[in-house]
Amino acid sequence: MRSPEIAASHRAHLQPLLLKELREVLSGRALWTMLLLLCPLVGYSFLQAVALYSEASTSARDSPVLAGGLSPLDGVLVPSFGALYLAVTLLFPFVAIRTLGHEKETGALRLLVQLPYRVPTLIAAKMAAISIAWLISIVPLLSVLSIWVVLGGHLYAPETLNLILGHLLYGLLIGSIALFAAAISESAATAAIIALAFTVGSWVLDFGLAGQPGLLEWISRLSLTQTLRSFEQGLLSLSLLLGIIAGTSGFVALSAVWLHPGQPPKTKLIRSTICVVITAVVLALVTQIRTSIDVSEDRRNSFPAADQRALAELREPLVIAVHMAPEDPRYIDLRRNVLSKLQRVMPNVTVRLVTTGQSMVGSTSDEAYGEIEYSYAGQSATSRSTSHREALPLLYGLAVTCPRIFGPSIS
Amino acid sequence: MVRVVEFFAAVYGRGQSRIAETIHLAGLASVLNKRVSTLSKGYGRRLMLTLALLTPQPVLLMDEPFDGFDPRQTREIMGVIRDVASRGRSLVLAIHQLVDAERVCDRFVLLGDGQVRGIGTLNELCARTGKASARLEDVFLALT
Repeated sequence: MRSPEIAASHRAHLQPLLLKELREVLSGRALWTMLLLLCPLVGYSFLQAVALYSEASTSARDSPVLAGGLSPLDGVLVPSFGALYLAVTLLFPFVAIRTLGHEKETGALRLLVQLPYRVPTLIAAKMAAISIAWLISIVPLLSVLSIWVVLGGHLYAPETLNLILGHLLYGLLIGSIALFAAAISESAATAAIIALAFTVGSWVLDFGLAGQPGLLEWISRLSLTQTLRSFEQGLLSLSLLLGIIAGTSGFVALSAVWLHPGQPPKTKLIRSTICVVITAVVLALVTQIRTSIDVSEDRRNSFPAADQRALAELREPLVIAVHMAPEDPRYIDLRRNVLSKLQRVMPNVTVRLVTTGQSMVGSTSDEAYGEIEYSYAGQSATSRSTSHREALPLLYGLAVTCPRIFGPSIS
Repeated sequence: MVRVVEFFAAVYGRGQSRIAETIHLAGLASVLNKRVSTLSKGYGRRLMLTLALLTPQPVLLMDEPFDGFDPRQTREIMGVIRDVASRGRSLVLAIHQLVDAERVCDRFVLLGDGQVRGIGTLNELCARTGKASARLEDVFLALT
């Protein structure tokens, strides 16, 4: 029979564990070194952004069209947060590794796993400490945003909070990867190499494969950097949100599997495989979710409200064949101005990139190059415009079975 | 080091008086403000003993608990172990020095080549080997 004292020990308080993890992060040099580098980086980015934005604003005083295109999100927020992105990508892994690497090196982990805490609890406490470290890291950012507001600058709360949320999720994802790296490595140095292989490898995917067709494009989407794109555009995508949470949870679960030094490697490998499979299934499921909210102040991710309502009523599948090379700036314009907005508002949109043997250099001989073919309800129409002002009337023209939707496009 | 002890105590809900008593018992008071990594082997052993004593487990397994101690310190730690045992806890000690084992333990499990060669009190083991009032070392040599 278990003694009352032992039974009580299994209900150990979380507070000492959380305080220990927090002390571990705060007492390490990694966090303070990162902050030391981050402060001037954020300050410089902010000053540069404000200088450029002021210059652009001066030019826009006489041009309403130019003024309409100016947004503090693009002009000030995203460049300032770029410094945080850089620091989180390159330095934050060292902060996260500290929560586990030091214990592994000193052998303290062997004592820790004998305490009356379950391994998931230990990992959760470490993630909590990593989250607090991230919160400390954004203090310089919050300072410059405060200065921006004090100087009379405008901030739109939803898009600002959305951007902060994006960076929080990115920070936690990087933190979980670093924790996993520390869990599978015997030394902090090895863990740092593994974590940086993930983050720097993402840059390689980003720069090397982005814009490439087919499988290469799909692989480039695995880049961690991609997780921030939507948030920087003022878009809160449920699919992306859940995807990042699933990815982070997957790495946290893997860390828990590899944490205990007493588990045989075979058991760890089997459990890791299960974790990877579950995470992959969840990721595959969340990519099917199309719900997203445009939180940008200028509604840049949406068509005009009337068009939004009309397009939402088009239930037939819409197929768009684009005869352009993926790196063509017109295709990038088309994606931003038309395709991504259509995919958000219409339930069934398929975009096909017709790039057989085409490239921007060799495209001049191909007559069809540059054409965008819209097929809806058995009819099709072709355009070369990348603007929604031409694409939407074309689309409404195809939707002859729904005459009540014609109004908005004409207006 | 004091943080490590306080952390363990907080996890198991031990009060300040219990911490002070355990630290005094293990003889750690003079090095409390040192870093764990700077402790000598002997004080490292004392720290582990302190942490073990702060736990509520009725059975403690100790591997070579006298390793790193001089004869005076060994005798001191033996006193601590006997004191803990007298309060109702069971301690399983893995010891190569049979002289030390004979002085501190009540019952013995003698292992040789990975096999159990004998279990019991010293008197029981002596009776089994037919060597009345023999030392544990002699019993061990007779059984292995």
